[in-house]
Order: sequence, then C-alpha cells, then structure tokens
Amino acid sequence: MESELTKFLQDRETVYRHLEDLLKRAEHGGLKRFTRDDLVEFGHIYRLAAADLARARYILRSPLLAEYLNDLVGRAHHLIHRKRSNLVQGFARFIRRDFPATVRKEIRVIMVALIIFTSSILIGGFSYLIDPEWGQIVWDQPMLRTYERAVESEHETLLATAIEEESMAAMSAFIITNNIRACIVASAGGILFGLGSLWALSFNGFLLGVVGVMFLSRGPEHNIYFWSGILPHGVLELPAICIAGAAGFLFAKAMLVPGRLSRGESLRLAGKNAVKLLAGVFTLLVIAGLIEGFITPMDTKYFPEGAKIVFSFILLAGFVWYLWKAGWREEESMPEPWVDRTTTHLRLE
Amino acid sequence: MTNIDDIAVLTSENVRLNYTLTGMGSRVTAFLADSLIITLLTTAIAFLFMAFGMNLSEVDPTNPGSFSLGFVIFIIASFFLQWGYYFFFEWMNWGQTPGKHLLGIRVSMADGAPVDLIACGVRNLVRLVDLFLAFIGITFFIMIFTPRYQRLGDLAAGTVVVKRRKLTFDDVLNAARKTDRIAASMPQPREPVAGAPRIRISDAERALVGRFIERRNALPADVRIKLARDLSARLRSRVPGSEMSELSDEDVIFAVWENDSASNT
Repeated sequence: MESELTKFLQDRETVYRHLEDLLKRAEHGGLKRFTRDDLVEFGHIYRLAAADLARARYILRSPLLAEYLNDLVGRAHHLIHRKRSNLVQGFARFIRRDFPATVRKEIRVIMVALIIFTSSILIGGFSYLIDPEWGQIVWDQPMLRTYERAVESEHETLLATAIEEESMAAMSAFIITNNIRACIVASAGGILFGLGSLWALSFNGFLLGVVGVMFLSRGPEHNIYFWSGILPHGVLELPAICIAGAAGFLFAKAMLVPGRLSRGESLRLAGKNAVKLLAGVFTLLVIAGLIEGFITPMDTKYFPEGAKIVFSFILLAGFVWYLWKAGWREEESMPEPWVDRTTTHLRLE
Repeated sequence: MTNIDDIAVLTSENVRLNYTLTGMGSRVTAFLADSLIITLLTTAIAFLFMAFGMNLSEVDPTNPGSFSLGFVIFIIASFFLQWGYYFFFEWMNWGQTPGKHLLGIRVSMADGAPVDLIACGVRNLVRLVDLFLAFIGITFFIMIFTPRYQRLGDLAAGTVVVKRRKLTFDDVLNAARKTDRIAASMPQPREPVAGAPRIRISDAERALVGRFIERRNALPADVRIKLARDLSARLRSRVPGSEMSELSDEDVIFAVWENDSASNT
C-alpha cells in the first residue's frame, strides 16, 4: 500500500536529484559554471521545489520532506541572491573609494582617537621628562633600565636602522603581524564600551612618548637620526592605530548612544564601518611595515637621513591627499554593488 | 511545525524558510575542534619547516634580528592561521569552519542568507573580545540572554549560527516507505476510524502527530510508549465520549491522523 506521500516522492525523485546535483555544482564553482540551459532549468526546478515545500508542509504534512525541501530551496535561494564580487576588483574599489569615503564619514570619531593618542604621547613624554620613574606605567623598573641602556648604546637595533639585508623581510613580517595584532585589539576592544580602544590608544601613546623622550634627551645632535628612523613608516603607522582606535569607538558609540535605532541595529551599522576602517588599517600597516623593514634601515650612504625625512613628509602629504580626495567624484553615483549579473539573468528568463 | 529555536524567513518569492538555531553546546564544541585544528596545523608547519632544514630562530644568535626566509614564511603562515582561519573558512565555505562542519552547524545572516564578507569580518574581529569575556563567563550569559543565542560578534555582524541537518532524498523516501509498511502491517483500526469523531487539531498538534508517526520506529521502546501515552491522552481528552477508549494509544494517534488526512484531501 503506497501512501500519497510515497507516490509524490517517487514522482519527484528525478527532479529533486537534479536540483541537488545543480546545487552541488553551483556551490563549488558558482552560477557561472551553468550553461544557459542549466540556468533555465534551475529557475524552473527552484520554483517547483518552493511550491512543493508549501505542499509538504500543509497538504502532505510531512515534516521530514519539508525539512529536506527547506534545505534545498534555501540553498537555491541563496545562490540566486548571493552578493559576491570579484575579490581583486572588490579590493581595488575598496582602496580607491570605500576606505577614504568611510574615513571622511567617520572623521569626527577619528579626530577624537587622534586627540587621545597625541595627548597620551605628550603625557607619556612629559611625565618621563619630569620623573623617569613614571615610565613604570608601561614597563617595570628593570625593563625600563634595560631600555634606557639600550637607547644609549645599541640604538641602531632599537629603531631598526641597521638591519642586515637578509633579515629585512623577517623584520617586516614581524612588524606587520605585531602591528596588525595591536590594531585588532584596539578596534575589537571598543565593543567593551570603548574601554579597550581607550586603553590601547593611551597605552601605546604613552609608551611612544616615553621612548621618544629617551631618544631625544640623548642630545640635539641625535635628533635627526631619531626622526629619520621613525618618520618614514610612522607617518602611516600612527594614523593607522588612530583609525583602528576610532573603529573601536564606533562600536562604543553604537552601544552607548544608539539614537533612534535599537542597540542591535546600531551595532550592526557601526560594525560595517568599523570593519571597513580596519581593512584599510591593515593595508596601511602592510605598507608601513614594508617601509620599516626595507626603506627606514637603508644605509645613509644611499639614502641620507635628511632625504628620509623629506620622503616622510611627501608620503604624509600624499596620504592625507588620498584620504581627502580619493573616490570623491564616484561617491555620489555609487551603484549598489550587489545587483549582480546572475540575479538579473534569472529575472529576464 | 515551528519549535522554539526556529527562525522563519520569508523570501522574496514568498516562501517561508525555517532555520534551527544552534545551542551553546555545539558551538563551544565546534570552537574547541577549530582551536585544536589551528594548533595542530601550526605545529605541523613548524615541523615541516624544520624537516626541510630551515632555522626557525635567529640565524646568528649574537645578532638579534637576523632571521632566515623560512622564518618569515613561518611567521606569516602562523599569523594567518591564527587570525584568518575563521574568516577564511566562514567566508569561503558557506559559513562553515572545519569544526562547524564536524558539528553540522553553520554561520548565516539573521535572514538565513550566507554570511557576507563584512559580516564575516565583524564577527571574527569581535571574536577576540568574546573569547576574553568567555574566560570570565560573560559570553555565555550574553548568549543565553539574547533571543537568538548570539555572542557580541554575532550581534555586531547580524549573524546567527544555525544547524545544518543534511537530509538526503533517500532518507525522506525510506522514511515514507517505512511508514507505509508499518501502516500496512498494523492491525488496521479501520472500523473505529470510520466512526471516530472528527477531532479538530491545531497545526502544531498535527505536526507532532505526523512527526511521531514518522519517527516512532526509531524511538527506544520506553520512550515510544511514553510519548504515545502522552500524545493519545491529549487527543482523547478532546473527545467527550468513550468512543476511542478501547483503542490502544498508538491506534488513537493513527485514527486521528487518518481522519485528519481524510478530511483534508
């Protein structure tokens, strides 16, 4: 004796198996793998399966079949509506337009982060100047003394101005991964009502202030050496950590003052911008790390200290100009990126 | 047909899709599995490099800062494993890291769509904070008190973790055939069915009855008897008279099911 359900299943067997097959193919290679016939077929079966899903729920009343079709229809639905663009093109567009646009949009928060960071540098510097024991905020006393001695004697390795050529790559890798880690902490920590970002910005700022004063207090004749060893990459690295901190503050702002939105909704909006800022920060850090590994330590014979400082200012000017102007014109006529070909294709057929 | 952990999504084609949220147990287990995989892979890479004779420490111990190229690759590889693992797999593999795959769960947007690039970035950025909070237990509280078992990263990204039960067509067909066989072999409660009063049952009850009939053979005997007793008691209570009192518990369920089907088709 065959029930209605069994008959129905036997009737649909080939169709469902075909859909399963199509789905498996498309999930691995995308809808691009489909021929035109496949696409047409896919559209038809998708609609049939969607109708069957309702049938399974309300007429055949088979929870198992409904669950099976729910999976099939859901997967097909997401294949059709998935927004996904080419990674390389997407990244290029992000750098050309989205990152500077997001920076401009969130410039006020970035300024807050910048102010916190610079004041921490100043506080760190002045407090160390007044009493070197203040340095214990960032390092314990033995560590502080070690560092002071190092600044006196082996400053070359500290500022990475004299690395062997074969270790430059390692130095870069080290620096980049470390900085990215620090920036991840600075931005993710923002979700704890901004405390994590605040801590990261002020701690790093304070540390920078202390070390800066250590170097500068060695005497004015060493100043140019200090600046040439820190500026070429610093002009990108320091804004990067400020932007990462600002990304964290976006989370904090969403949690503390969501405005007319619900906290969840405002957190989601903040998350989008925060992650865009952070993706830009990573890019900046990679560039800065390469500079720090390969350009900053270049021998003064080929790249004199004065030239390094000039290079830094040109880089800074270019960076500011990029943030200010890039993608300016495109911004207004931004097409929605998720209107992709596959969707329109299916609608036309 | 919907239970308390289901989320329903209405697509643009006016189809309702159901997803079942994942509880904490599977998620924590998946996380542990992923952590294990990351650790093993990092160790494996280190051994691989050492096996090929690459020096993973300073080339010249007297010179701090002299590192081999192998070390550079190792730093970068382990960094990507540590920080990019979740992001990469969740984005490329339809919301499933290997650990989640093992547990049959996946990350999806709150509307059931596959997780997108930005959401993937957000939830894995905030993962750091969630992990930190998990050490003092707060993450678990957050997950309990959010209606969809979301951690902070999920809230910020607008994602949920849902179960992905892989039913094949054969599962459905076999279950249907099994039901047929059992229905045929059962002493058919034909007579009482014909005369049984029509009981109005709700959609939820209908789903329950259907589910029971489909699954009863897979149930342990004691569970099956207890479920049949509870379910039939509920159905019997709808009939004031004693027309069904001589039927066994399962027969009552079948009688209601058959009657209900008959009245709908």
